[in-house]
Amino acid sequence: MSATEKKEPILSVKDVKKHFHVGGKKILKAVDGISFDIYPGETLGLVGESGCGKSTVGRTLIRLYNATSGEVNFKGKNVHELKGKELKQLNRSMQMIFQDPYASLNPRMKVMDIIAEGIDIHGLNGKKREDRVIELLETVGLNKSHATRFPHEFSGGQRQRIGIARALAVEPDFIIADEPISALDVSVQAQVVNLMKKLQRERGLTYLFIAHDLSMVKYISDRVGVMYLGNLVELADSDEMYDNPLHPYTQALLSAVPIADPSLKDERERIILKGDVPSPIDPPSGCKFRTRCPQAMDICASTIPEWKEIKEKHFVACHLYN
Amino acid sequence: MSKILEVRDLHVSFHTYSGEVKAVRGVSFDVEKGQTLAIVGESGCGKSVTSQAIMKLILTPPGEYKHGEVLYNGKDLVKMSEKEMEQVRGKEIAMIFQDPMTSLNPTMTVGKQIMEGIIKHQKLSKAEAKEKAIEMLKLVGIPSPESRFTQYPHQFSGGMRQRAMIAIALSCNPNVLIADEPTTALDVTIQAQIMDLMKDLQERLGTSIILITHDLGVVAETADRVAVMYAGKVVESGTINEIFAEPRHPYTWGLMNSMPKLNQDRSEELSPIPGAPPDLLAPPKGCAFAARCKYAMKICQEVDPELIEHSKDHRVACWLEHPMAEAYRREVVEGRQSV
Amino acid sequence: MSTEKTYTPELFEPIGQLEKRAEQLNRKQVGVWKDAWLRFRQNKGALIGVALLLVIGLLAIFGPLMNDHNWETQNLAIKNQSANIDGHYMGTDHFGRDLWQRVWYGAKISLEIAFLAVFLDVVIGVTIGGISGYFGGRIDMFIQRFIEVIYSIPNLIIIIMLLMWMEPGILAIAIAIALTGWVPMSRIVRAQILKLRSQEYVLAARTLGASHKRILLKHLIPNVMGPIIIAVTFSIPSAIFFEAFLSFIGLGIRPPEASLGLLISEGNQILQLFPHVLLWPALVLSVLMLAFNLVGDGLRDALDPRMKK
Repeated sequence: MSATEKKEPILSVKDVKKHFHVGGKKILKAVDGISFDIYPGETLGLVGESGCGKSTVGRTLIRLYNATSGEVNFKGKNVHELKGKELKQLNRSMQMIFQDPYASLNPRMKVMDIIAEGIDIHGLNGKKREDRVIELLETVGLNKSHATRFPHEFSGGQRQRIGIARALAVEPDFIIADEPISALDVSVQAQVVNLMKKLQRERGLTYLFIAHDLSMVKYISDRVGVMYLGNLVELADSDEMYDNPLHPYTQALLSAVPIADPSLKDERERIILKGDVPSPIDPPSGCKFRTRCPQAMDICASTIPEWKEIKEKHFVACHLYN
Repeated sequence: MSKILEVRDLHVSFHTYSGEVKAVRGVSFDVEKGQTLAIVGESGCGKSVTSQAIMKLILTPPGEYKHGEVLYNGKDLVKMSEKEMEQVRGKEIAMIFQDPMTSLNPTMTVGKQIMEGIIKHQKLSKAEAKEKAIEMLKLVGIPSPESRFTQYPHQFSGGMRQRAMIAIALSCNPNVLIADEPTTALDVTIQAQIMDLMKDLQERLGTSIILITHDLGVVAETADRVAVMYAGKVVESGTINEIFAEPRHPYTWGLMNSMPKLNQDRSEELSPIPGAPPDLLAPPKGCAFAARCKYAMKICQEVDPELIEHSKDHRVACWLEHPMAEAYRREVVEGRQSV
Repeated sequence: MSTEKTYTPELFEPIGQLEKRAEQLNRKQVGVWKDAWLRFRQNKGALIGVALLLVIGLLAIFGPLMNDHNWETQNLAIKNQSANIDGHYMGTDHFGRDLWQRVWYGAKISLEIAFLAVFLDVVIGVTIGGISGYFGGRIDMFIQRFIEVIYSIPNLIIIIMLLMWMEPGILAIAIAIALTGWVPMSRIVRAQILKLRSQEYVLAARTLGASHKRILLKHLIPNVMGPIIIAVTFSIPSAIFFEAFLSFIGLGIRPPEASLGLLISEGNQILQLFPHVLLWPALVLSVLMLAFNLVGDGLRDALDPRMKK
């Protein structure tokens, strides 16, 4: 993506924080100040382990949560200040695909009504509602006969495609895909990923692809961001990230991914991290990764590492690169 | 090498209000002493039911053992009474599950839960059992085991709980450990820890492991042998080197092709398997995979292929293996390689 | 292949992927409610309950047409008859009124009160529970404290005060029962909605810009219908029982009208001499309670998502 430098970002996230109150005076810092840009037509992958805040980022961008502080500028406007008409417009241009294909479709609604929900809400009755739904069903590889069925009659992959059709109904430019394939079987994951890539080619969609499956993220994303305990620790073009990971956490994460090739088993050197991810309610001081970091130094406990562009388009937050 | 566990033509069904679900429809495999057999397949293929059937954990009704045997050291577990099984479970064959939170009792300290099995099967005194339990916690890499001993499951993290489960499972030195998706609920870095631990313990204790998983990556890194299951049957089995280097069943090809390769070009499409697995309420007459198979032949819809030996360590259930399909098979394989 | 069977070469002709078939749906079209019905009808007790309800319901409507008497005409000449003479199938009471007529008339009144009361329960309970659960936060906090206050006042006091102010009759008694009866209903609805509102399909509706009204009516309430129906089938018998209790202690239906509770109360006074006057209404009441509970159990098993496979 050499063109990205010239383009204006479609979405610009500036020092966004999202804190939750969890009983008493305890505060869970799910997202603790992250910044990144997404350019039109690209896919940004966001990876990290459970509890790192990657889903919270997605939900904060689309206003399911209100940010504690920071700015989310979408097409030049701060998402969290939109009201009325402008908010409705946001609901059309930014959409979301969810993780659980069993929970993301209302079991009491027919597929027709599920997909047409956006059409009904926004009064997009230019074409006949039914024709539009059938067109959308065909776009995602289903057909007319499926419109009168209920969600529980479909397989996981089919449901996920229905969820995509629902999002497409309002003709968005930007889609947040929150772990869209992690609940699916391997053979079905590829169906959904291929569909997402096809839609991107045909409609110029921009994606934020949140996942924990690193090989799929590498395949689908142009750039990848790695999160740990509410912070971005590294952000780079995906080939660069996988060939030349800089942050010790990224290195460990990549080396932990099992590879489906027994002949490589003995050649690989694996970094096995010690211990567990600390609680986001009471994270370590300084660099949050220092408690598990094999290369931790004294400075890591006292100072929060700066988010810096080490190489061109390669950001990292680690004292090793100061 | 000797076989410790042999499953022979196992059939298990569940009776539901809408009919009989044939969850396992003739599964056979062997587990060699000290080795790891991985059973791979997608959700609903019967891999978990198979593992529970070995332990006789299937409730009857609604479940039913229709046919087949599970030979453990030559004795058929299917025919054993509940009382005899109690002596097998935990002591001879132990099991760990996907979700360590629900498989530990939340109202009992972790230490007590480890001691339970030790006292039952090894007839040790309480003090001795406690010593052994702490030793087990140390063995599975839980730091400060003495203080962890008196803690409850909710005070453990996900990875720690799975370690505790492994400690419980291994506390009576079982000969076979069945691990049903032991790392699916865990993050990759924790998964790496647990897989490492299991491999290490296997080397030290000589336990045979049946690893149930859907992740071919985990299989490649930990197993010695693989059985690929589809719609309640084993469609291909062999050593990992054979299966990964020269898979012969179209379903196995499909599974491997649908994952992105390490250096997959982003402009290249993945090749998913279209459609979804068949409904086991009414399994199709012929090969269960025929409807989704790119290379299906007429016969595939008519007759279900048997699992036949391709080489000593490699068995496949596919009509492409039949001598009469040889020319077509060659064509297919060439076509695959040129892609 | 080791089998001796011979196969002809044409069987080995490639036919390729049957993609159309592959995208087909496996299962037959079974709606959520049909699915529940399939499970419900496997429960023998529940089916017996349904049959009993049908019989009592039909008798409450058509029973009075089955002999030539009516529920209010007194005939002291034949009072306290226990035998079936002259079409008095259940005999007569101490004013010589036909018991058959009075029992079915009373059963009808009791059922009317119960249905009306439960209808009010549902309307109030679902609205308040729905709002409380959906909006959460301060609104929820306020409503829940309010409910606790209401619930801590003994309901007999509320009812006595209400009946002093309103003319005792079907409506007044139904309101009296509903006045406190909606609380459990609202709690069930609130708990369900709290659970459902973070479901991904609700989030999806929110990201599409759906209004609160749309989310509540289209997404949440339809998915709470199962628990609501179960709660209803258990509230009806308790409403019937409560009506009987009120009438028994003289706060409910006034003589010479009839309801099951009132009939039992009248029979109770002459129990030792003429037990049949108590026996018949008590029997109908018991069967009615049993039937509703059987049906409720069956519905719970059929609709409870935890039982789903």
